[in-house]
Amino acid sequence: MEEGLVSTDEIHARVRRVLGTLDVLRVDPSALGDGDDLYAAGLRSLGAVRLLVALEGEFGVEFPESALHRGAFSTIAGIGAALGALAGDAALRPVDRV
Amino acid sequence: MSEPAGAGGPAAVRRAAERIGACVAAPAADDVDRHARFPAEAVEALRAEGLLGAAVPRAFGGLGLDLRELADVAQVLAQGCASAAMVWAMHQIQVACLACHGRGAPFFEAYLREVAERQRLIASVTSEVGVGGDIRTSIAAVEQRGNAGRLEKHGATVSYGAQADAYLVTARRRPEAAGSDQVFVLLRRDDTALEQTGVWDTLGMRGTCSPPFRIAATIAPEQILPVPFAEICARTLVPVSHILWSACWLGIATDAVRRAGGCVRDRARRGAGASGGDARLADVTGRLQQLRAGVHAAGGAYDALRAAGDDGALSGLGFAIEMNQLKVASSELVVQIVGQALAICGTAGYAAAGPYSVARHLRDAYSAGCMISNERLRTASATMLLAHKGL
Repeated sequence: MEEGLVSTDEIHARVRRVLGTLDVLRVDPSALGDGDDLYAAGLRSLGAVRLLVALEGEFGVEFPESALHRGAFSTIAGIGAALGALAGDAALRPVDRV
Repeated sequence: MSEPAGAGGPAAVRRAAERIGACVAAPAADDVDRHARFPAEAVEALRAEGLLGAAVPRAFGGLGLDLRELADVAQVLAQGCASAAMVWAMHQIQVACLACHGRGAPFFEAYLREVAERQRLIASVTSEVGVGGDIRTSIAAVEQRGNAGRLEKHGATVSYGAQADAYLVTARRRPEAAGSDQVFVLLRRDDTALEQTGVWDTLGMRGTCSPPFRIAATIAPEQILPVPFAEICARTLVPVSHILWSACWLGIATDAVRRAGGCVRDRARRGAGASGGDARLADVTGRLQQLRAGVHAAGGAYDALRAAGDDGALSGLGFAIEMNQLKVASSELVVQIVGQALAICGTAGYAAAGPYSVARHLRDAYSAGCMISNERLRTASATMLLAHKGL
């Protein structure tokens, strides 16, 4: 792994941690695989919006609305890819909280 | 009766709806309301004109009305009897779900033809005892038993459940699926065991006859719509429901304002009112315009997206917020408008019967805020507005 790059695993771990702070699934997110279908795990469209907003806070990014289309936001890996597409690795740091 | 109205295009359909609303539904409306009985004569008249097939595409023998045209029929019928209009509207909502999401599936295409030819009436079992009014959660699940599936559900409010020929029922995909992982299943009346478990004795909309029912049926896989309920809900069920319900409320409001106008003119003729008319009638007419404009605009927006095949926009946040808030606004406006009509008509409006009575209208109007509670819709819109920025 190159110096300064955030690993995919680390991003997925942070996504999982954010999921753990929200009551939007019926299972413990730590038990979910990167490719598991979040909707099958109980995610609903409103839960997806709450997840998106929490991820924006965590990663300091702003998603386009199209990110919510079921395909893109339906797995942890998909969210990781959407985050990756959205910003360079430099942006994938926790937002400084004042 | 001669040729059914459907053969004559949208203008003939509208004339038929006007005739049925004024000559069949309206004369029965007080009796339907008083006895909380099904508006059988209006539904039979609609059948005779082929109007139960209004939302069935022409390719399947239906009238192929678009949503604006359906909304227009609903509001015309509701001027005569809100319960009859709502029964018709709820049936069209189910047909629209089949027409939009059953295409390409032989079972559903055959059933669409049957709706048009035999004028079948479809009820919905999306509510369920124990889920607290959330149609996007099911307790009931499709269970596999050998080659067949089994579905049992306790619906909380099954409108015209006793009169329907078929039921569109939500359930979890399988017993281990999440509550929100739902499918939409069509059950024929003949194959369904039905047990009414309560009564429908309500403030208004009494003729929709919507008590709780336990239903049970053995099903084949072909009876399950091939699209997840979440998508059917977002793209068709919710927008079509909110627009056609709003159209029914527009009809209630229109008849209430008509009665208020009659009352004001009657007073003016007798020299009992202000000689220049009643400013309150101008106010309430403005409100009615607002309600009508909202329904027309939403119907037009839906038809345009559907015609463009823009499924992304139909299932997008912006459209969902627009439809939710149309429903919230329409349901509040109808109560305000009928309330203003009541104030104008005074005692004659408060009377249970008579040409200027708006008592039934007001009771019917109050159902609007509870058909999917406005509070639930506001909360959902508020969450969606966190992610939706385009206005």
